[in-house]
Amino acid sequence: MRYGMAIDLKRCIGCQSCTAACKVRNGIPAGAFLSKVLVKESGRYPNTRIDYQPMLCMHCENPPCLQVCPTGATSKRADGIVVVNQDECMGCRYCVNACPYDARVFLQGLQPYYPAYGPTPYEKVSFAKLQTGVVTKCEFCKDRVDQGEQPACVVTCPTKARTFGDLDDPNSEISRLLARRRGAQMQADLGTNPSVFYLLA
Amino acid sequence: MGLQESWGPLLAWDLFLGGAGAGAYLIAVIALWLGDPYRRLARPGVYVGPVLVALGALLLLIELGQPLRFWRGFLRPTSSVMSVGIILISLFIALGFIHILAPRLGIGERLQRWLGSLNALFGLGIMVYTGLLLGASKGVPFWSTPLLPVLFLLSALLSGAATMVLLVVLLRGGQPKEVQEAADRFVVSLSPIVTALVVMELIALFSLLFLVTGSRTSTVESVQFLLAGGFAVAFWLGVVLIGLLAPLVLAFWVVARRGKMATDQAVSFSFLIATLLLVGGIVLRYAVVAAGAKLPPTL
Repeated sequence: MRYGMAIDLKRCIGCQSCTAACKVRNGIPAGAFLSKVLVKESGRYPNTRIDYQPMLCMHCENPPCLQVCPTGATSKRADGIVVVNQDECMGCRYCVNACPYDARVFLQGLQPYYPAYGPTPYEKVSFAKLQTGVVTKCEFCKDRVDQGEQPACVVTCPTKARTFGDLDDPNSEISRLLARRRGAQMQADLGTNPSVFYLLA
Repeated sequence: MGLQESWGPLLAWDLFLGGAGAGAYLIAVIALWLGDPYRRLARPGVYVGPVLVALGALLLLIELGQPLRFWRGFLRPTSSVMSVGIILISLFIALGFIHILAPRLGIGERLQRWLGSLNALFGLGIMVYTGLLLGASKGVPFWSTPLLPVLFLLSALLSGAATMVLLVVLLRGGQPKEVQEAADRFVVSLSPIVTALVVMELIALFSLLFLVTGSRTSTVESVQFLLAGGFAVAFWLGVVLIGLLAPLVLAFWVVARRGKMATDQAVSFSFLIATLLLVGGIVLRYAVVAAGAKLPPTL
């Protein structure tokens, strides 16, 4: 069992729905993102282009963040999801610099979206589950996955660019998709073996 | 992707204090082995070494997001470079304070020397550790070079020697004449060692900057930031000129004029060299921490 995700870059339209869905689902304060879409401009006028690159935790097979965590707050579940136990994190931020994918977020404070009005009722509920002074990250919406659902970013994507499933099962939708189309991993040469694949063509 | 923002000046101070403290302690222990009259110069280094390292550890503690959970860092001693460092630093501080209190605890001089030697080994571990700590950060390729522990070790030895020189010179007055003479000889005899270490550090620093460039785009960003970017003035002025070239010229001068220069003049020169080295030491640590550019999101 190894959960993974394939993101079809030919389908992604950069609408940031996944970014918003992630924030809503996990109640992430203003200024922090567990999932986001990078907008990459390239070329020179008039031959220019914009590429979108969704970013989240790669749930590496060999996570550099796990290798540096001094307290054991970071662990990898049997299903391959890399998680942080907030109660065990002392906030040293070693993992933030160890992650080659900038996927780790240090929660300095719980900044509400409308500071002048204070936290909204929804923020009050969500912030109660978060700690400050610790590091957090995308956990593939593990509570949803544990109930047999897909991560919030996957179900919300209007172009169905994201496919989530078991990379170890050759018959899963994601495995068949990756068998059919070449999937690229970010910074593959680092030996981390990410579980998130980008479908380029 | 830009420069890392997770670790700031406090970490640089921690790395510097850890290196300078462990380095000063090492030189103090060497003085203990040299026997009389140098032995009597060692005491301040034995005191200051563990105190500086403890101060650095305290800064690191303050820097934690959850300082009260620092004890969790002891739970998995082998899980991370940082865990190993936490254990090393704790052992060094504990043994160091036993060494400080040794006369009151009735520990004999012979045992003190051996205790100090063991602890100096932990100190050497701390000096190297400061480089390995940064090196395990895969997201910052600029730090992932085997030359970084070498550079930090050399810098720590220099900062340690400088700390000892300042201590010995400042505490010289009011001592018996033979101790004062030993102090002068000790300080002046460090000049050739300082010269050699500075040359080695210059080689290590520029080899690092040269070799690390070109391995990845982010390392180019780091090197540019130091040599020609936002940190250029502090790098060339603080690290290279004040921290290395000026001490090199002055220390070489003291070595070359040995026998011709009056002792008190050589001591004043050494005091100046030590001050410059300490300034260079902290700016170097700050430069390396600040120049940590993160990997870009290349596919």
